[in-house]
Amino acid sequence: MPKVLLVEDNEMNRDMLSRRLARRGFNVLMAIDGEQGVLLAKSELPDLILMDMSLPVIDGWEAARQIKAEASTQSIPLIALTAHAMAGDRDKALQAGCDDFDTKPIELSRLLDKMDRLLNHKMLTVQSKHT
Amino acid sequence: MKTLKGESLADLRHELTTEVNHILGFSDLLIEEAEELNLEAFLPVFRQIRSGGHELLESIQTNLPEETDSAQKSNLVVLQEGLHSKVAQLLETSSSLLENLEHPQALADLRAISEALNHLMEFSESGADPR
Repeated sequence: MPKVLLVEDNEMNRDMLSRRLARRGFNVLMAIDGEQGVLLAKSELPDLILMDMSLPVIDGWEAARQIKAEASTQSIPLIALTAHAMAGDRDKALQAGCDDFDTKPIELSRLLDKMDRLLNHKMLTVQSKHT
Repeated sequence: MKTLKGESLADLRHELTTEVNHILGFSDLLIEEAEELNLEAFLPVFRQIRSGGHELLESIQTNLPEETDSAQKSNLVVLQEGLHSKVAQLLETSSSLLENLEHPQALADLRAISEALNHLMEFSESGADPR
């Protein structure tokens, strides 16, 4: 059961997405701001992180940079979630080290495709290191 | 969403789309969970709410597009008028459902939808005066 860390400050968004992911077999951990997200990423080492970018305390951009700068967490795939569909936001997310980007409203099948691709890639990378 | 006076267009767009995201997300959940909660009879109405949510999103994206920071006030008036009738219709639908649904989780999800609709109704009835 893949462990997914969802970093989202909006309670309703958190509730919706966590329930939909849990129904599909994901073990969902949740953080409500960027600082908590960074701490949970380090302590729980999830298989994948979904990060809203408009977060209190530390915003998603900075939290993503910190996670990707830390040796223990830099290989965890990270998908940025934003309310904006502008090209600049996508570039900004990738520059912060995010592996992919998705926009709200969440279209679950599209997000699941991205998650599957990153989780499979991560699994293949881990396997190749051990062979 | 108490007032829109003095609010930037970007903030306004963000607030409105967040409310619509809640309508879409919770209606998706109601649809996904209908079978296991024995609520299949309500599926057409849940789908009607989700479809209405997509119409609201399209109206916001058309009248407050991402790529401009200078939407005309006339666009806001069109948006308010467009949202008002659609939101009123969806509020009527959700009120009727609230009287007929008994499952606690489904009721909670429907109340979240109603709350988002009420926030959108506040916007549609307010004097929009964004910066």
